[in-house]
Amino acid sequence: MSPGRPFTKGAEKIAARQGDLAFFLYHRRHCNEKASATMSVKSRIVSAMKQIAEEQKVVLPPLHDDLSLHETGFDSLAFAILVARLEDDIGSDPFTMSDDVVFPQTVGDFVRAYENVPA
Amino acid sequence: MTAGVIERPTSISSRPGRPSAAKAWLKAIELTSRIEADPQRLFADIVEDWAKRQGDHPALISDAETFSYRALAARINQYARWALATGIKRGDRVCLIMPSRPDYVAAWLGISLVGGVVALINTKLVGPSLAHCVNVAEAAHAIVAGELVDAYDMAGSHLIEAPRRWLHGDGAEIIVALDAMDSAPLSTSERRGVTIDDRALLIYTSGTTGLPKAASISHHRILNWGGWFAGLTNVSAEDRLYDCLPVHHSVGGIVAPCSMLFAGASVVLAEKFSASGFWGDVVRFDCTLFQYIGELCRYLLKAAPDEFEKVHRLRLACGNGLRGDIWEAFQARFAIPQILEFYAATEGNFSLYNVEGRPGAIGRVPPMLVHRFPAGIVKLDAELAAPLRNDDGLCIACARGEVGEAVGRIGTADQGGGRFEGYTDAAATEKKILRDVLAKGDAWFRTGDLIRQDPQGYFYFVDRIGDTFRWKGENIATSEVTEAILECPGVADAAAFGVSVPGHDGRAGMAAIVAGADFDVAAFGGHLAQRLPAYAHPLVLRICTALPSTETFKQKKQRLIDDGFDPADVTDPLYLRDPRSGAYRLLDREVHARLIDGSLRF
Repeated sequence: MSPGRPFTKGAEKIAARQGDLAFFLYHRRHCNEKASATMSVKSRIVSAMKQIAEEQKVVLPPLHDDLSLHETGFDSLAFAILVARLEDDIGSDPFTMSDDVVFPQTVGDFVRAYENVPA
Repeated sequence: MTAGVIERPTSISSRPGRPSAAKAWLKAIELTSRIEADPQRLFADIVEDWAKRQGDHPALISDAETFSYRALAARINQYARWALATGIKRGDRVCLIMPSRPDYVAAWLGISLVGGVVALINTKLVGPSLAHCVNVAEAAHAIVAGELVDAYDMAGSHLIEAPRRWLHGDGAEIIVALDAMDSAPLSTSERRGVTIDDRALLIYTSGTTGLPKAASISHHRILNWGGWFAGLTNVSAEDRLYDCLPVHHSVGGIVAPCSMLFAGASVVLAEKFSASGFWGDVVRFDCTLFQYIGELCRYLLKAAPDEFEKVHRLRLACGNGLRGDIWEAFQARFAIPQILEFYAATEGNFSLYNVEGRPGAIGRVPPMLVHRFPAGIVKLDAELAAPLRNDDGLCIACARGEVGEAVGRIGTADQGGGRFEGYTDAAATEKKILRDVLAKGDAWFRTGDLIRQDPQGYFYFVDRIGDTFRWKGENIATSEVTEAILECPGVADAAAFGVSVPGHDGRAGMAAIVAGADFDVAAFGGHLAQRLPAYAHPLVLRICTALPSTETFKQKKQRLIDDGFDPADVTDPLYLRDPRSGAYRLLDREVHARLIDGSLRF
């Protein structure tokens, strides 16, 4: 997936001049959503994991795609908190919604489950 | 510490008013993960905390009596002090033989609070089966409800050592003693250092062989059950659950009340299930949840329309055994917004929950936790009902869609396992343990259930393995039935097994017997009634001249099961048990036809 085309200052001005405020607002929101969803899913997950690790007093090893979920040191509670928070933050829970369900074993699997949720 | 306070989540989920699956899991895991942090805190403390916060709020409701949280906490403390005053030491057993009512819950919560172990005895048992359960408890005391005292006394000749009997009922000695006890919270010294790891209850399960086994239930387990279900059902203090299941079983007696009491909600305890009275009760008590077993749902669905069946305020039905063939019809006809089906065994070390409400499934592990989950399905040898082994001597995992036995890894959560607390009988405990499953030296709990898993990870119940069958919500060991039949006059040989009956969950009991000259079919039902609870009496009786057996004289039950009970196919005389009188009447073609088309009820 490629990031959405940024809405330029010039385009904003044109849209506003044309009085098409609704179009402008829609387009801006759409672009922002697309951009943040594709660009930062992984970083959002990593930052949520770091925060939860701090709260739950878990020492996280350096995170990389091949790290098994077992090796993260997260217990069931930590994973449940993570998935519930990401549901609020990203707006989806790929482990419940999807019929094409994945059973993640590694950090990489886990991140991809969120990246592959249809927009 | 405060009570497990549960508030409704504020976030919006896909279904308004109902938490998402992720939030439900989180709530359940949060509530249960706190248990070990405070090992002195037992379930009675949760009740005590709610009593301080909302003393007048109803906790346990029934036609016999209603306890507010304050009254329940007080009664628990009185039972605890009664146990102390009676000299019941930590680990001493007390049998509780009483129909469902609020005082039942107060009794076991109170006695176990000071370290007594309460054996919850099935109130339908008679004679040797009843005596067996009392005997294995090795109890010093038995609390027996007035209406059950005759059955108890009749079993007396089979008791190895008779416990001190305490009659329970209006004006009875124990009631007078309880009323005289101080109802204030217990002091530290009165609590005698009991922790969550102490045994609290004995709950009887019919295993794959023999008479019922007493499973050990710790305080930890009671808190765990309560917390899981309080979380997954998202209970709040305004909720009210209708529980008409037997209170001597783990679901009706522990899961249902404790999930509600955990959250400060209310429980209606009905003495028994009645299809005609069910919806009226649900509306009369203004319930928002009910606890089911699959058979109950099937009876309700078969019953005539009821004026109250859709005018209730129910939001959820929680239970196990609701099968796929009636799931959607049941949910639609009775307008039940959510069904939470689960899978667990009293002594089992893992459980499954169908949080998403997938029709027919017994649950699944949340995919995010699959990497930690301590359960699997292993291939079985159909003939021997034993797990198949590969060249390395290890078990073989089933592929998705394949049927095998569900097993749960024994160990701590940190090791990716679950606790198996075993039975009072060490040999029986060992029989349930399967070793060398995934690796040499590992240990897994055998569920005795045939299960399959679909590609989405949902599990489906297929059948019980081996020599047990399930009928009317009870697991029945064929060996126990066979033994009772063999004791009846004139029976030379017998084999008991389960057979499918169209339109019914589980399998009905059937017995093939070789009758001697003095066998009297008219007296047979009466003889059985002295030895077996009514649900274990065979529905169909076949009188044979000989029983088929293998070269090693092992009975070939499969041939008998395959023969069935259609008089058009079986030339031996067949009899059907009349549910009202318990007598056996000739099963001819006309009766058989009515049995199959459902017009004959039993």
